[in-house]
Amino acid sequence: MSGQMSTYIATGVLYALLYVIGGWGLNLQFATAGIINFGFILFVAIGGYVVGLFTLGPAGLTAGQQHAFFTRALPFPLPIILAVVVGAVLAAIIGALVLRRVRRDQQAIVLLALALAAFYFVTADPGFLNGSIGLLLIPQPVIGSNVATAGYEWAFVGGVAVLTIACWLVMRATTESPFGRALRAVRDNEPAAEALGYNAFSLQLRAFTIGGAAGALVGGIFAYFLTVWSPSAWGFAETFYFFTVVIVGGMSNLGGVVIGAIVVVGMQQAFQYLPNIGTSNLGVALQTICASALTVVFLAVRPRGILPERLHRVYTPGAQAAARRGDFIQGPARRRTAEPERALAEMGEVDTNAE
Amino acid sequence: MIHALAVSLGSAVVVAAVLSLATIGFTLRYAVSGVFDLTYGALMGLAMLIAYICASAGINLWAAMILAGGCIAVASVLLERLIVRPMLSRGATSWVMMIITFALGLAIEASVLATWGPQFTSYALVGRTYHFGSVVITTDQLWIVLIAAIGTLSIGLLLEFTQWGRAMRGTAANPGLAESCGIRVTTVRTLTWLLSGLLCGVGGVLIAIQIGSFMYTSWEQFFPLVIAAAIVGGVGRAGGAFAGALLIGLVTALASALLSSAYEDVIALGVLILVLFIRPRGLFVRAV
Amino acid sequence: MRNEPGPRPQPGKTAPSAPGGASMPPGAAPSPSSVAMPPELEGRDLVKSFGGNRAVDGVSIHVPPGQLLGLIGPNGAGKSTLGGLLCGSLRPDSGQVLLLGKRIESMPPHSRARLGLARTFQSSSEFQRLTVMENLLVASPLRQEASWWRSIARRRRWQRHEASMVARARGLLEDFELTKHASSFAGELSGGQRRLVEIARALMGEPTVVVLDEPMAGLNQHMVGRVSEHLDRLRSNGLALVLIEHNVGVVSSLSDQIVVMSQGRVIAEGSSDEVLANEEVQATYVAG
Repeated sequence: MSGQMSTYIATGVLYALLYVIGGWGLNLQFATAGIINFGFILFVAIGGYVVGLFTLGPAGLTAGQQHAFFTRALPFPLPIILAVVVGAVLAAIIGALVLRRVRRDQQAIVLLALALAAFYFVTADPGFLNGSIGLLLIPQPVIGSNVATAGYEWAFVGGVAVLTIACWLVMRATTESPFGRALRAVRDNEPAAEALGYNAFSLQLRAFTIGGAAGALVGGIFAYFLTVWSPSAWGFAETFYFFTVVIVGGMSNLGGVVIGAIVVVGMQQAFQYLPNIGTSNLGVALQTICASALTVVFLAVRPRGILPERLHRVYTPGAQAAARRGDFIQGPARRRTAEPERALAEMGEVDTNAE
Repeated sequence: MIHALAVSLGSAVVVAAVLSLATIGFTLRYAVSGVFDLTYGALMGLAMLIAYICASAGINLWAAMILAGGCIAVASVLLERLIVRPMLSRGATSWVMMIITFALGLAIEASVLATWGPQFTSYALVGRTYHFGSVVITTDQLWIVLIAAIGTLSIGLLLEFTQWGRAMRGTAANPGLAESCGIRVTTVRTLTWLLSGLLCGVGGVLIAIQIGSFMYTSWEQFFPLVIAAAIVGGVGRAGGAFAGALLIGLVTALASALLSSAYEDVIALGVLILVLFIRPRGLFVRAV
Repeated sequence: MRNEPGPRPQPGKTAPSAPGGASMPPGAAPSPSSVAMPPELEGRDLVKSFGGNRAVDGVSIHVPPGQLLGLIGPNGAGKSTLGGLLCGSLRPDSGQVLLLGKRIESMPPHSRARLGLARTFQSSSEFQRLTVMENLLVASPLRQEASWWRSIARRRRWQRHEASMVARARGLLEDFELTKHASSFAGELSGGQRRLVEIARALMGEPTVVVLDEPMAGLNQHMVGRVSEHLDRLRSNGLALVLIEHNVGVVSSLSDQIVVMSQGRVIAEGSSDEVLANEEVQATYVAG
């Protein structure tokens, strides 16, 4: 296998894994908890910048003639851990403000505006995070020996794959649990959930925080991989790709998100290598157009995605073995999917019941 | 200090004028169909280019502006008929429409960038410059303000005093009731998108004139301002849209004067977020 | 929750031990004379206006444990508003709400629910994309299981609890003849079945006080009978129930006390015979 081919495949796999992790994060916020986070990319951005700021150090800044408001060189894996922590903390703060004080239908706009404002702020102020150039020359995590060997890429991808499996375990435990069920109840009908004793705000805040942490993890890994982290990596269109992954792949379905990631990355990689006809932007353009078309078509025809939400596990009384297997409750024992008639309207306004 | 303020005020008026028509167009779509149309910005950009092509072909710039507006008007009607209406009738909620319109906007932008390319162009403007003390005004800016004023006034009169205007306002307020009063809601919607498209196109060209040297993606700088103005004024109300444009114009002009023009978008978005936190219905709306 | 058939508790008898996990103040000392016990749910001088309209205008009610209070009145009388005030979805402009003697009018709905208050809603509010079984499970009294950490780290514990909750839920499903729909998504059921899911869900949480807002709407005679039986059993177990209903027949047979509202005020209260014989009630309450 030629070096170039190997890099091509490794990059593709890595991007897919990152879309999976990020997709799971967005899925938790959006499809499970019902928060329409159009500003998801903000957390990805935060993760990337934290990794950059905590690996470059003053020496790294001067080497690239860059400016940042703060930097400190810390050894791996501290920066990536910090990225997740900072992402979670900022998600908690933003969530606390937006989820409590803004009406549900306007939360989407506020979150979108936040992500956009952050984008414009970073590009406007070159001293903050080095403006539109971004942070450069981010040193990659050193695994064993020399960074520049051919095996490094695959080692990197391998590490991310292990991380992805860990995320999967956490996400699955989160969604297939009383916590996950409570989130879905709040999503379906907030007043009814509150009437059962659930603090909707607190539950949504937790989901928002976890999703933000996942986004930051993705950003941090990305920054390590690209060694550059600039606003073009997290332009607003990137949130759109994450939504495509979740919508096309399957809302509130972890496996669906994987499928969605494969579809989106597959498309991106395919168009990457299209011969450049006309102006140089054709490949990128086709990528965007295809992603757009795919999203629109799916929303029109199959809004649940390729793998829609499945029956979630319920633990029946009986032997431990049965409990471990997580038998579905008796009844129509076949696996069915959630397809109520008005498939699109599920996120619609709920009447806060006042007469 | 006074001088700086005078300059700010002057540019505030110009920015507000530039934004006003576009904001009214944006808010009309929301008023009548309930759609927060994120394709709007891409359409503004398209209008800029169409006007450029026409102007380069020798057509007078102002006529080209109307022509571009007309093209976008047609495009808007297609958008409404082919995409917005079918999706809404399937029960699509607001976030679904936002994603769809955003996707379309991205697709339009990608197509244009691929075919036209990201080069800067500008209209060949020949205008005189006037000086009032140290305040500089060009004829084009005067034209912009004039056009915006006439446009806003006409729309206002249209909405208030004509049958069409009343039908539009009725449909915006309560489609069901309007329907039973004999108003053909579907026709009203189509016509509103037509009008809104015209405003979008004209607004886009005005922006291009104001910036001077622009490229297709220049609309991205202004679209957040339009959205902010619409929300601040109370989405769905034409009168509020104008007031919102004024406020955003003022705020961004001040920001440019005090900080730098690079922060315009940040400040406008900041205002938007603040308004949604404090007065989600908008600032210029009569309390319910 | 044991279903003990038995005579209705008389005032003056010991407060029955609270079923389930709700906290209750150490019960009032039994007193041989008929001293009024602290009422379990009480509203005092509640006032709520919307715009200029006084939906609830100085209403006081109280429901002692082991009693079912029927609330009737024509449309627009303010019954659901009163229900909302008692349950927390609305805040009163003035007045107090007391649950188990504690003032709760400034408590949010979820806090009231944790004190043992359950409710059903006038418009269908089942969780559509959860199965019927999940609808019930999410109502289980062990809500502290819904902590993220416990869900991840203490899996065995919540799985065991869930198993026991499933057994209870199955019992309820059987009572309401919904067993074969246990794995169906609640949104796919018929209107009447969804109502039943909602009622069953309200009862899963082992409440001490239940407010039911038009629970019988959309149910056939047979089901109305089953639900009434269930409500009667609950009442015998010492729960306090408020039943807002249009179906006067059901209300009169179940209720210990009836309160009639019209235009925001209480116009009559007493036993069902007294109230229904009242001329003013007959005049205002046309629905029947």
